[in-house]
Amino acid sequence: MTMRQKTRWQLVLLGLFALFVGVLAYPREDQILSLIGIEADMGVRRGLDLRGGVELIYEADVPQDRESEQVLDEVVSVIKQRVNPGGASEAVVRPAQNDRIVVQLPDEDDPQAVIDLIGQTARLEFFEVNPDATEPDGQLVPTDISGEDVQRAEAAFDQFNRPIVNLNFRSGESTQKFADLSTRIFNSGTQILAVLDDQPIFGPAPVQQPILSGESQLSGSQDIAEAQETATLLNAGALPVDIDIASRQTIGPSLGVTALQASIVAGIVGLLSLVVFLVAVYRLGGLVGVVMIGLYAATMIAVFKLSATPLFSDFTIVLTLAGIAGFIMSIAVAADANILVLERLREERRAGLSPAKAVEEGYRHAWSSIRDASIATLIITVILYLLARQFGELAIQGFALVLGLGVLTNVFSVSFITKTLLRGAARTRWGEKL
Amino acid sequence: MKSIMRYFAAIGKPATSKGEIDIVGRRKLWYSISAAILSLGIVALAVFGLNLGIDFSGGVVINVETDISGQELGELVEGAGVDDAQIIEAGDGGWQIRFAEGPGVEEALSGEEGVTVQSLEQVGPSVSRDLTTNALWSLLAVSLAITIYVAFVFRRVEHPGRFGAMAIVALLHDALFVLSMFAVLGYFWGVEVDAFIVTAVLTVIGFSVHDTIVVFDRIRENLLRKSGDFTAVINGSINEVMGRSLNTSITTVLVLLALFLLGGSSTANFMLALLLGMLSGTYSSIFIASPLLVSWNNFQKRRAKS
Repeated sequence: MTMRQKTRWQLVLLGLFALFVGVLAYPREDQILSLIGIEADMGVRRGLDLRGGVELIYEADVPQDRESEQVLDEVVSVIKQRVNPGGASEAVVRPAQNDRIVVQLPDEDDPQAVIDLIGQTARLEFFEVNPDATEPDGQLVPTDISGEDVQRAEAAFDQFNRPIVNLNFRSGESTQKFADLSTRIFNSGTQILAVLDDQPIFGPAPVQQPILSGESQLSGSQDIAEAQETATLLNAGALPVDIDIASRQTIGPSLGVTALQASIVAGIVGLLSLVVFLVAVYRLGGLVGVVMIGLYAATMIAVFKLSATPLFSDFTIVLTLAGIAGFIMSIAVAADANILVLERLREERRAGLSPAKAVEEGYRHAWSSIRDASIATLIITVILYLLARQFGELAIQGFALVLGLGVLTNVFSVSFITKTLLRGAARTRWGEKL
Repeated sequence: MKSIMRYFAAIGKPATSKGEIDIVGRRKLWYSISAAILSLGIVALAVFGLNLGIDFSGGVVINVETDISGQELGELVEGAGVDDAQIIEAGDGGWQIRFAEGPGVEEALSGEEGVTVQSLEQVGPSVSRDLTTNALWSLLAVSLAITIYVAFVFRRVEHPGRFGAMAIVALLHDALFVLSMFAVLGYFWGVEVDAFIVTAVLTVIGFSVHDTIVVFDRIRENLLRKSGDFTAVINGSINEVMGRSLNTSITTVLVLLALFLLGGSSTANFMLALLLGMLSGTYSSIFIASPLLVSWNNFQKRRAKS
């Protein structure tokens, strides 16, 4: 394949790529996607500072004889269960350095209500379920057994190696109450249902035999991990250790919207001045740079949107104000990379090379600077990200993530988009102007 | 662009027949400028100190929007049991209330007719202590990683460690410059240093290394390709890349300036820190890091002779 043919194919590929990221980055992408039969409403996940919400950092009082990691995990699952029972909201609960727990609740505006909710004791209830009952009231009968009656729950395997949850009821009245209940359910052929904070955690399931010893097994867990979670939640009648608020932050929704609008306006003005500068200084080459920067920005927005889809739920990029700053700065980095290539290209042209040759040579020489500088920036963003993650500094973490991602995307953009466009431009009749 | 080049041509004297600007020859001037600014900066840091925000010092900051007067706000806060609160007007009916501790203040404010609590930030003493340690560790880790990386990248030239060391000198130059400017800004205009500024300083380090590598990369290329006087090769390399260094800085400054002026108050200080660092980074990569390579080389040669 000749160089000319190769360039042509690369330009076609680039056109397809531009179409792909262009559609994804377009604000009304759902309308375009629905034309080809894809129903998807995508959006960039916005952080607390851009949409308003509450952030709480708790400090757990871990006893000396217990492993910090395990205690924190228990605390996290208890808090999760309380602030985000169905797992549907975008609440973030996770452990951080120094026995801390970070809780983030977007769109929440009453911090005191959240603090109360987290501080309360979880409510465990047992119901008797009668699927054959005709009246709705008869289907779900509350019992007098609650979380107070459970002394300890533990995940284990039964003799058939199936995951189970061992329940130990408090001796005396609690054991007696459960014995009565299980006998009644066993005899009537109804089922038992355990509900924690209004979320079913076990059952409805029949009782195999009356339980008189106060030791019960809840079977039916999918795997040991699920059994463990159920046990944790059952033990979560109260938080396993005391927690105190170490820091908290509330951001009103209007403040976030104002900040977002200001950033967008500033970003557009900054970009426009960048475009004017590049075209004024580098003419045709500058235009190539502008197209590359536009595609780069579209690629990044497409990545943000894709990361927010359920498919990539574990890698969702949450865009904060600091993240937007990182994004806009990464655009400046992209401009830098183009300038390095274009300057080198000019040098090669001055040395008497033809436009097509000068593109190859200019790119080849500029590459080492771009590579070394990009790796150096990446090293810094990785260090920033890891340290910020450890210390629960989410704003800094978001900044580092977006900037790092930007540097990677930029390396791709300059080596594919800029190079292909310059190759294409060098072979047009305006090529001499490069 | 040409006018900037002419400007530099006017302050430098041509060193070669090629019409290069003699940056390296005038290195003592550049060193003196940096030394003067940085020593003033160190004095400012020592005398004024940094105006640490609640991220470092701990405490509570509440932003409210209200049509009642500052005095009435003060009475409300006092009524909630806090008598040492600072109440600062933020314009457009916005007020900022700062105090060390007071659990009832927020409720008292949000319960009042015509007062809207827009944001609240409370940082406990243990969290603020951590941020200080974290910031210092980050600086140390970044510096170390960059020295090793630069030395690795330049392993094919003589004395790669020197390149790494000079990248660090440039990096510390820029970080110190930004911090001392914030000492001045904090003293005269009450600008605070918060977690954002720490991020900014670390980013400035990134930019600084980026700029330095662009210059060093050309020096490496020329050292491996051309034979000749070390000083002349370095000066030639600086001249070759000065145009693009300035252009890359201009594009970044354009974007940062827009964000600083229009991006809203919450990130203005962050952008200011980046701007200052960017300017310092461009200066240090051209006028400090590369000429220092020559100074080091000459020093070694002189010592070898004697």
